[in-house]
Amino acid sequence: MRIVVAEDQYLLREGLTHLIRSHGHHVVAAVADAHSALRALRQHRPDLAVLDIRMPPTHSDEGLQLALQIRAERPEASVLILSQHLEQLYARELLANGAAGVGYLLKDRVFNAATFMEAVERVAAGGTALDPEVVSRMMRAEPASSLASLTDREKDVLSLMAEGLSNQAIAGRLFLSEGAISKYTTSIFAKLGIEHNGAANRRVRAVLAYLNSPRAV
Amino acid sequence: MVLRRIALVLLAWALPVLWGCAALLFHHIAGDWGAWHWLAVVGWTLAVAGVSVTLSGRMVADTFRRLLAEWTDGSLQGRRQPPYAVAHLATSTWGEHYDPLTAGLLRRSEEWVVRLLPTWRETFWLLIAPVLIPLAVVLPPLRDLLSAVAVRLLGPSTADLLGSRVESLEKGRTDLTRAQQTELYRLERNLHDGAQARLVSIGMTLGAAEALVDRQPPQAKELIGQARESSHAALQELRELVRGILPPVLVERGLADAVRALALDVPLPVTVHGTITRRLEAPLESAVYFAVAELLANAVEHAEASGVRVTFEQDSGRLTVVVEDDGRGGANPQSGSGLAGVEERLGWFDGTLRISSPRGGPTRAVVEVPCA
Ligand SMILES: Nc1ncnc2c1ncn2[C@@H]1O[C@H](COP(=O)(O)OP(=O)(O)OP(=O)(O)O)[C@@H](O)[C@H]1O
Ligand SMILES: [Mg+2]
Repeated sequence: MRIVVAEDQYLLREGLTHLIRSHGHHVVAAVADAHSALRALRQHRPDLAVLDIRMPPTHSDEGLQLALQIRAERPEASVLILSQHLEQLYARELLANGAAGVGYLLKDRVFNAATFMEAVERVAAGGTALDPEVVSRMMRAEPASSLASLTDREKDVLSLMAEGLSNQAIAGRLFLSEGAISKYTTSIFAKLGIEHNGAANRRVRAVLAYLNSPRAV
Repeated sequence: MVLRRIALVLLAWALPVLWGCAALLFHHIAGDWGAWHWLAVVGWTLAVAGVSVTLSGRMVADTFRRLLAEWTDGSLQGRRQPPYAVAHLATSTWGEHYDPLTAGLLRRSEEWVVRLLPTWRETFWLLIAPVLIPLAVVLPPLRDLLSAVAVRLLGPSTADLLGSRVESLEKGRTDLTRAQQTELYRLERNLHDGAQARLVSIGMTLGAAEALVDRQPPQAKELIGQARESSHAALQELRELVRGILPPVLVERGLADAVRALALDVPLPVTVHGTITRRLEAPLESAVYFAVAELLANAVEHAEASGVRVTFEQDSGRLTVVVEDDGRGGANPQSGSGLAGVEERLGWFDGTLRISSPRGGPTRAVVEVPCA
């Protein structure tokens, strides 16, 4: 897999490059600012761009803007945004035009190499990786009545679906069988009245559209 | 209180009239007078009039201020400032020649002068009011003239206005310094008990792991895992802290998007309307942000609302943010610390918070700040 890394902090950039390489992937460019990142992305057309959200020149949200721009140019481009802080607002902007090949994670997730690389590979393959922290903020922002019909287990499954995990991955996380998970998902969709759709990343969008959408309570 | 004042004023004004009448009566009884006697009576009457009007002038003027309040919608308000405000600052700064006893006496006497004696403008008003007011009562079109004259003569002078401005700025500065200090203490405490303590424990855990790594690799591995968890927690705490000082979205995107981001985290449907075309100065931006944050928190905590609406409106020189909920009302800045804090913080920037929140709702809070 060919990956471009854009991160202005030297240590983290080196760390990321090293981590990705050690998992057998190819870092075709590791850059430190948004302009070089755009150039590298256009030139290499990588399988995945790992972008820090706050980079020179303005140190605001260039990573996010860059991701939106590159996906507008090339809708199949996969981007993984890393940030020190998470915002539902940014997550929604990133996912507005489809959840396929989009990731948004806290920088700390790098600490756990295995799960982080799992997310990297999922996003590069056209899946979704939404940080558990954003998802839990979305769940917390729900009016109490909206998820009241779900059992605790179903809420766990809903969170993991929103993060972008497939049934198989959810089963792995919760130590359950894939069949059990698929029963849970059917029941969740029925209770919340969400249109069921097989592909994991479409499912993310459906779940997010449900969470925190303005609706009568 | 008002009645007593009016009585006093009437008495003060009646005195010279009484004296005048007494003189006339005397004249009537005693028969013909020489010019000398006339002069004495007129002079005496004028002297009494002068003293009593001077002594009551202040109260008369104040009474008029109150009576005319309705016609001049509030422009007569504003406190008369004692003239020693600057002297007081000066004497307390250059302490060498400072003599507390004299300064105190001086201040006390000045205070009495200010409290008692009318100003030139007030005296002038006292001279023309007896003519102007009856005229205005008879001829309603003259009322505009009357209120214009009243504002001119009874309203606060430029010096008074500047005086109250200095006073409010001084108070603002004191509040600001105090608030900054409190905030610094909070941060210091938070860092000390939070991130710093965690870093110490991470260091210690890694040290222990290092000692074990050769002899007992599984235990060392477990310790390293613990250190990683701790670093995660430390980062989480720092993030919370940063969010409380200056929310990252505010820095990255400005006020409107920061409020949108905040609205998404609130467990109530919040809609955000309007745009902000020009970015505000950073300190002002964060004051308004934290004001909206408190208003949203209140709507969640107290209102039992089913939704909140936030509206931005920016025109030349002013930004207005309206936060409305459809809850039960009864918001009162006096009964908590949140709203009062918002008022204070906005006040540093000449901003205001107005709340209308009748029992039974709805609550409508209007934040208004000047912006270039
Ligand atoms: N939107 C609202 N709807 C109904 N009542 C409100 C609303 N906002 C405030 N109040 C009432 O006004 C009081 C004062 O609010 P304020 O924010 O000053 O203090 P607080 O929220 O009680 O405490 P703090 O903000 O310091 O945690 C509240 O206790 C609450 O009773
Ligand atoms: Mg409050």
